[in-house]
Amino acid sequence: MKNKIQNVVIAVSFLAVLLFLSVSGIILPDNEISYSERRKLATFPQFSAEKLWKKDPGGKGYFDAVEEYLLDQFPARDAFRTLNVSARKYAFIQKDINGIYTVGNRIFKMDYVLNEQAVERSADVYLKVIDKYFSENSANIYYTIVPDKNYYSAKANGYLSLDYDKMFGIMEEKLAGYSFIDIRNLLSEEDYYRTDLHWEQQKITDVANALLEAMGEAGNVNIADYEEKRFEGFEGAYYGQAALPIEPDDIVYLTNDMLENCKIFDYETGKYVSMYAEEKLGGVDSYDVYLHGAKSLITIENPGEGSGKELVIFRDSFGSSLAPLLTGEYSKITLVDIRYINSNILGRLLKVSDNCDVLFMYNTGTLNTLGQGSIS
Amino acid sequence: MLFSSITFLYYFLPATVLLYFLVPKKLKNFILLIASLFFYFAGEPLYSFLMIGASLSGYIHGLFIEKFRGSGLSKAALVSSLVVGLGLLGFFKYSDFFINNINGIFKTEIPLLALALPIGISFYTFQILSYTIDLYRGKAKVQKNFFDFTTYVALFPQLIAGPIVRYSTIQDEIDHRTHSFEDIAYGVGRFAIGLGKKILLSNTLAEFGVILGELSERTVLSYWAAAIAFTLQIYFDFSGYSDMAIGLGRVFGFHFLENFDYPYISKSITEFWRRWHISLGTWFRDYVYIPLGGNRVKKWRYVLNILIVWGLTGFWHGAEWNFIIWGLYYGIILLIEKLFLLNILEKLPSTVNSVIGRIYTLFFTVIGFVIFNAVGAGAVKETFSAMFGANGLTLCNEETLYYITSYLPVVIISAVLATPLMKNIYNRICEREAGNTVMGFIKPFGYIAILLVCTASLIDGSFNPFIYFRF
Repeated sequence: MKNKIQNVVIAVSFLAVLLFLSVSGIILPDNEISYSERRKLATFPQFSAEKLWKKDPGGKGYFDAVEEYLLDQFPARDAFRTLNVSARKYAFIQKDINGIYTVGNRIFKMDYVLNEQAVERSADVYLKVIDKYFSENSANIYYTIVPDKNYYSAKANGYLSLDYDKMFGIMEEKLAGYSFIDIRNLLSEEDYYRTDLHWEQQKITDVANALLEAMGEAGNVNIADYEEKRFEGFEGAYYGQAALPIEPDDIVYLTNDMLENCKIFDYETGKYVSMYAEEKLGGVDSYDVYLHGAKSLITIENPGEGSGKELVIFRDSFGSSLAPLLTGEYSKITLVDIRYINSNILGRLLKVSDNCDVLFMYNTGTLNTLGQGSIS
Repeated sequence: MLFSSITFLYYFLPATVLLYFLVPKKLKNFILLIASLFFYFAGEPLYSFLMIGASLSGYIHGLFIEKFRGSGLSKAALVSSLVVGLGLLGFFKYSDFFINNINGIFKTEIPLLALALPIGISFYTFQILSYTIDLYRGKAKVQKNFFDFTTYVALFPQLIAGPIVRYSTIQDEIDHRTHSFEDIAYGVGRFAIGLGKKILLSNTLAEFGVILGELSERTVLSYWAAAIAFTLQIYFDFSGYSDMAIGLGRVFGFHFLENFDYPYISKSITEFWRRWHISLGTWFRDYVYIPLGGNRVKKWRYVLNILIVWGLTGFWHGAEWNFIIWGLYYGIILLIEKLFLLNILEKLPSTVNSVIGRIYTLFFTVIGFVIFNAVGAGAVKETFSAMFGANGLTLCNEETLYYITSYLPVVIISAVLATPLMKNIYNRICEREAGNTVMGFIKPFGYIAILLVCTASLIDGSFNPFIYFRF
């Protein structure tokens, strides 16, 4: 190319790209939410003379807010995020990007700094709960630990991971008087969503059976007894963070007449709700389909089970997809997430029968942070 | 406003370029002035008036220096311009440093002023002083148009992080400059390369440094890796900014002088400082070192001159003791080199000199940037203790190794690009007609590709600090 033409091409093409993207940004309508990143996007900051002249205590001024807006509303934002991650992954050969790594088409988030104090405090929280609510009603106390999916992949693929042996050791030592149900060998990385941190409900029937058997119930959860409902295009929590062109997951949720006849009461709203919140599918977090997502206190009454046996599960979001599988063996299951409820309020609401089963089940990631002052 | 921001890249820059080339010649400086003031105002609304005031001071002092040329009043005007310029810099940048030290020494409790540092004050103050000093010396012509003078001071390409463009360098271009597609294309290319250096390399290295600093358990190796990462980061940050400034200047018809010349290939610290932040080094040489007598004085005075200049060079970078220590550290090394070390190095066979000289220079450069990057003098000691195994840290652990492995490719890429190797390969290719033609096709796409990947990095919320803003 002749130098003169080359110079014109360089100058004009560069300016054209700048103008094309800036004009596109002005013309295209703003998005309210980024579903892939699971957050609200910035809106154009309201103008005021005060904001123009004064910076906030963090040193940010009006034009910083404009910049945030422009970044959030940039045309083809998701495609640019993919471009960035791809450049870092393939050009710089970075092993992880902001803690997110992929193995094949599976996405993982590194979590490797074991907070021993937090784990110890988590066990202490369990002990406090047992002492406060179950010391006088002869409850059968069990606990299990749900491994996060790094447990099955990190070390094998050269990534950092928690010292799981130490974590389990701390829990077993602190909770020595109670029955530990070890489910580590019942899971593999294929039992978790590829794009999310959670396990897949249809793949944890053996976990459900192991828990039921350990608690003295019949472990006869069989996938054949359920109807599979499927939602395609589940972009899990890691999907947006990874920003890579990976096929989304399918969410499968299991139902049958027994589950559909259950009465589920949500103490936060004071209303009866359905077992599966199908309206959540396709929303910011489709995993919320299971028992309506994060809830502090919820009960499942199974009118088809007449034994009167009760189970109280102290759980995080992993419990939401597991609980329906345990429903067949209990008249009532109470699900409590101690991260979200004040102990005084819980004391007023938690009414359980003697000889109930109590299961503590938090995942390793939660245990590593749970003890950081979450229960009052 | 940052060059590495969407506001600048996609709104401010195209709007300014379009307006600039659409208006007639006599309005071009006006457009540049308005754009530059807006550029500064967007980041520093209140301090915009300080910058305009500093420009007014330089402008009026310049008029007086010219009007009373040959008389003592001209010198008085020069001294007055120095007092006002350095006074503003001292007040806004160094007040709390002096108050802190006075409080420490005399056990007083003088309250700190806690002033936010006006962005770019160190750069535009030195530019204004270069004007009044050069004017007094007869090396620059007086600027009688206040708006044109303020255009020079506020010129957004180099306003907030240099290079320090002397008035004499662009005095003719302020009034009479030409524009060509050749200059614009060169400027675009230089800007894109600078943007890539800053966003793709420097920011990634900065992220690596932060990760190393926040490891759950620090190791000796992590301190060394952080020191090397910072050495590369600051080069790509600052030279990237200089590339962007030089490129933007060229788009608007200005020819700024180079500010970096592959400093990390230097075979001595003396050579390093001829290649690193050239506009600052030559500023101190011409306006401080030579007026002090340079090397044409008695040896003790020469030693003193070197230490004064390098102490001030360090102090210019920040109002902390570690910056002064950093400057003096270089002053001492330069003295050692000038007194005997350079002679020894030059007597070595050239290959040995190349290898040993470069290792020696890089080692002391890395050590220098540890001093530079430390937060206060106490942190310098702590970091050195850790680097040399004096505080009982383990040499390495799994976490350190993981992150070093993860960021090693970017460190290697950066290290290669800090040398002229790629530039030489490019020049070799372009020497042949076929190669030149191929490059002619590749270049426009290459620049756009860099722009888009940088945009992607900004959008994805990557780490985006600008080291030289604090100066």
